[in-house]
Amino acid sequence: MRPGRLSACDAQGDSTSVTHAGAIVEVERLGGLAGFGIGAARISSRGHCDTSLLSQEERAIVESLFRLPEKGAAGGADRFRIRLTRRMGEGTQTAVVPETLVPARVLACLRDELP
Amino acid sequence: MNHCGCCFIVPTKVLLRFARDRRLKASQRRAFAAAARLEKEWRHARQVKSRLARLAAEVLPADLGAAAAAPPHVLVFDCRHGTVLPGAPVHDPAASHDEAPAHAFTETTEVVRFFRTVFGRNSLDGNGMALLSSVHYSVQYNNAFWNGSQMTYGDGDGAIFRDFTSATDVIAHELTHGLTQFTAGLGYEDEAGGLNESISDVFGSMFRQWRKGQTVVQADWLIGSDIMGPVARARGYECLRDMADPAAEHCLSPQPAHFSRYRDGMDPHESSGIPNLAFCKAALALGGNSWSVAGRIWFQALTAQKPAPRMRMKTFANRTRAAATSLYPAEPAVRAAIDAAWKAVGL
Repeated sequence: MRPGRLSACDAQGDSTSVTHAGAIVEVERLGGLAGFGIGAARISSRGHCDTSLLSQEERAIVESLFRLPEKGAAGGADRFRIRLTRRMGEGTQTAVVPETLVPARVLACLRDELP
Repeated sequence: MNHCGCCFIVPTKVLLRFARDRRLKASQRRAFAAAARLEKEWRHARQVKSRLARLAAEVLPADLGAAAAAPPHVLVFDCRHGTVLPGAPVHDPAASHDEAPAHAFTETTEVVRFFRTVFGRNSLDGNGMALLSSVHYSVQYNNAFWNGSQMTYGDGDGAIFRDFTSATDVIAHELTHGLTQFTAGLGYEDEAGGLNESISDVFGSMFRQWRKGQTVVQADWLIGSDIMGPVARARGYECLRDMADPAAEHCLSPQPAHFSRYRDGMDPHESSGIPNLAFCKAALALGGNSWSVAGRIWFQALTAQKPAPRMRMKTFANRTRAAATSLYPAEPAVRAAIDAAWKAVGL
């Protein structure tokens, strides 16, 4: 771990410092009342999470999210969905899940941004 | 109530599991147990009230039935920056020095009055259902949502967004998701999802205009302009969406303005621009106040028929055309204005 970097989280663009190959999950917030990350939206929320720095329980939750069906219903309206992406060999694996299923320390990686 | 900071919106059985988890502090376990009790009692009380109101309407004379279906209770809770819903009850929110619960209470009460006086609707379910709002959800949370049974508001980060309770259209938008759930039952995907979001924008904007006493010409037709923070405004963003010009540069989320650009799988907040523009055009063509003619027609199209979770936009457009004819049989210009508005967006 780089000195001064104590959490599992990094805002977008800081992931090159992480040394745990294959343990980085890209995190993106989608939807909500403002329509984060959709279509032509200007507002976005992204970050990177080093899962090797999460607890065993949190890692198990993240792992289980990649096994959920693609369209998990969040219930209600204007809820955020979270897109998780990780490298798997030559390709990538993606999951889109309701925000309520994602551990708080993974969500803490996100930074809301405007261009 | 103190929260552990790692909680989500959780079902009662999970709250109870946490309440029994010896690995958590005693204060955290007590907090989870209290949340579970409150959740159970709250749901039970609301179900009983709805059943009683329905029964009263069926079996009592009209005047007594109306008395039984009294205006709904408006309740406000404070999440205190946690994420367990509903949070701690706020006693006398109208008198609170904290703006968020005061706004949530006042504007929710006004939305109730709006639906009752303009459309004759007693709360979201038509039976005086109590309305629950939670404020101060999470930390610097840039969102507000309807979770299927209540409204929830974040404080915003103070940069991109301000407190989400500070906007009358946002509060009415979230409440209208409840109205849609209890009436047309629109789903949240594809065309039905776009309609669902649009209905909330339409009634949200209409309510904001009603609160300001604005005509359709005076209205700005912006959604969420009152929650835009200083950073967003400094970069030229004035609103989330613009019903009169869905693709405008000043929107945080520009939208398609014609059905030819609709694609299945679009987020509902994107495709809603198409029916939003149709409503705006119809209301402008009809003139006056948006809620008096166009609003009545949209309300009738939403509420007068059986639920249709997968409704297509064309179907809703046709429902408004039929509603225009049935509500204003002697005024063919009304039907013509509705028809022209939908045709302008490709429907």
